[in-house]
Amino acid sequence: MEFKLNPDLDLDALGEAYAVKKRLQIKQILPTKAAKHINELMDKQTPWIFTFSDGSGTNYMPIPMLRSLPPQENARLQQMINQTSRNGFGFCYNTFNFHNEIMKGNFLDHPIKKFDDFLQSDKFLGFIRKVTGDETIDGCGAAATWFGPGHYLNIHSDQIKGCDLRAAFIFNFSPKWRADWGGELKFFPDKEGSKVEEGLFPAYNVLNIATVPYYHSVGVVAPFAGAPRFSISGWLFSGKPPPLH
Amino acid sequence: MSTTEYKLDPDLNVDALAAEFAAQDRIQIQKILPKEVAVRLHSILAHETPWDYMCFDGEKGQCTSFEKINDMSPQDRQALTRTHLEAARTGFSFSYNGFNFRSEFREGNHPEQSLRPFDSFLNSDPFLTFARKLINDPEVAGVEGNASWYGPGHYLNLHDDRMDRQDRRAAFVFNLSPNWRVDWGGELKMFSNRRGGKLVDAFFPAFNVLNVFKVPQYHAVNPVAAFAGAPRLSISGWFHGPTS
Repeated sequence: MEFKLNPDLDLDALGEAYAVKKRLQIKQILPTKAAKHINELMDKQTPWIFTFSDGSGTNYMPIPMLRSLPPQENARLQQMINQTSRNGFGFCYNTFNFHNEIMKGNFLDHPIKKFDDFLQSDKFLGFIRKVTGDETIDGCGAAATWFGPGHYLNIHSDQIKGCDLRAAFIFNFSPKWRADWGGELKFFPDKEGSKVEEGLFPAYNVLNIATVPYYHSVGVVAPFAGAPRFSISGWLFSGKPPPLH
Repeated sequence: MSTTEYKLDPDLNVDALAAEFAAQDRIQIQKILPKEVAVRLHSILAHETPWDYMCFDGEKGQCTSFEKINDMSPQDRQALTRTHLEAARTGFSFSYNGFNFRSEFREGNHPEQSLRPFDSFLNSDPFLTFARKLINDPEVAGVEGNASWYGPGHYLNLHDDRMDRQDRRAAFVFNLSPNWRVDWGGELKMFSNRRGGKLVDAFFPAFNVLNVFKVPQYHAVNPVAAFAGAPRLSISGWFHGPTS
């Protein structure tokens, strides 16, 4: 599938709205068929990997390996993740770093490659430059994420030393999300999260963009959530791309 | 131990708070009690409260004593969990530890319980006068209080606090959780409609902070994260009109 943005978006109005808070939620971002295609890709054709923080860095574990862990080891892993997350930056969710994989020459025949091409194209980057008003943005790196029950991403600002990250984005592909299921993207004014400036529920065919740095988190998905929280998120940068995982 | 004198912080500017409440139909008030009172209440909730386990069975709330839960077979315990989680997926449900002290005391239970003086304070002239002024409702006649302990995985789904047989004018939460971190969840969320709509406010657990909001308003308590380092302790309830 060749991807494009919904042709009915009003770029000038979006740019004005973005300038107010340096972030914006845009509904109906892709044509309906494209959104459905991505949702199905995530549901059926994505080689997910579990990712988590152990305090010193990002770890990855293939889901079949996670599922085959003996109960004791699984409990120990969970405890380590919990300990890291209790008083600092922690996270756990499933991911597919398709852009990194493609850069390494993997998954070139996977249908997500077409979406990666789209994200690298002027169709998308030109749109982003126009909405954010940031003409320096010239690159993009994205990953797919699946937050299931108990998954979360603690508060952080997206700043990476040595990289000129300009903005971050999240395409949401979760249809019929219920408010009680958690997993909102929350925006905070400071690193302590002294107040919630805004909280956005997972949604379907919606794009969130925010200027980096910005303090934000993905709240825990409720143990009883009835659907996965699917999204494609990434960074927009100027010059040197962020390091590959 | 010396006897705690229950009172509000004497420096509260009630007129200013009432103006803020009138503008939003909800308010968060920092430093609501003198510090030693808040510390004492926290200690009662942490160490001296006879908690029961409360959960929703798909039709109504269930109150189960910890003794009974300990006596349950693993299968029965799992069934209890499954029931409230299944209800939660598509509608109203809850799971937390609670102590409905107002109704317990009214029935003459727990004669020596440490929350009795605070229950009396909530229903005394100084507090009722404060409540009436704050929400600009001279008919507030009583305060129905209960204590709650939300540990990891506990939650209260979206609802609006309306009860046909009870004359609830406003809901309140005394937050008694020191050093809470936002990543731990457990925030009181305020929504724009019964389907959630928009998240209009989110109040994280805090220490010695009072939330009050007019009933009905759609709200929920977000699940507490598995990695939360402390329980979410609070005393919540309603300011009632005369017909309750």
